[in-house]
Amino acid sequence: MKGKNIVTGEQNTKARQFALAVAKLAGERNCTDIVVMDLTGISPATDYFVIATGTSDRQMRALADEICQDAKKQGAQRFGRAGYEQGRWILLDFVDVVIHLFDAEYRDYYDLELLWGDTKRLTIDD
Amino acid sequence: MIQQETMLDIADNSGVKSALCIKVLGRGGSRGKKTRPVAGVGDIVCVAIKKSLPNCQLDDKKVHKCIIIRTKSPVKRSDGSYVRFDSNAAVMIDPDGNPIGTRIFGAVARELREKNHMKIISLASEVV
Repeated sequence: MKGKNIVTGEQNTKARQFALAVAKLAGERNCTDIVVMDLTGISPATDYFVIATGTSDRQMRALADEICQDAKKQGAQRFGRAGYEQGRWILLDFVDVVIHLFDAEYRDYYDLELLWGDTKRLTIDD
Repeated sequence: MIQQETMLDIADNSGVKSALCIKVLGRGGSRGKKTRPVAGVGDIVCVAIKKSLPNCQLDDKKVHKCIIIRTKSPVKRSDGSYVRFDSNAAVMIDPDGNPIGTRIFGAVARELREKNHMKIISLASEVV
């Protein structure tokens, strides 16, 4: 049991660092309204959400490709991807971290921050 | 096991309450004399809207698509456990595969993630 908790803590730290690195990259690529949510213990599906608003579908696809390449270099395996062709809501699933790239209209429409409003928000400096 | 003529509860806030399955997508057709294509959790079906709220924006004269999120028939998992729900439920989606509603009611099955429907899990409050 103690060993299991240590592994979980290490995984959580790696996931947290990956989520913050993705948020930093999104900021460098001209994304706006970047939010990192800590869903540890709240959602059984994942530990971290990274939500960002892109400026165009092409920009979001390019950012998604770059995130996948960087993740591969770090050894993170992408579990799934959705919405890549349309480019309005691109979802990248890295199991512990889920990345949402919205356009402005879809971000307001789905409003994930309202749904998960009681979660802790992280900043890039964390 | 959702097949043609199955009534589904719609578990989102799109305004639709219940719909009738009219076709199971992604199957090659019936396999023999007494079999029919069946859908499970994570499969896409065509539906006809049967009951909806007055302010529903979806046209009930048209055919729409849904993703199955809960089934009464048990789903077997690799660890040998089963999961079954009290009713058959689905979520309306648009032609691009995005959910039409913004919130999903009730629990959803974890199998949606394996079928690349993480968007639905992101909108769900509970995953079983």
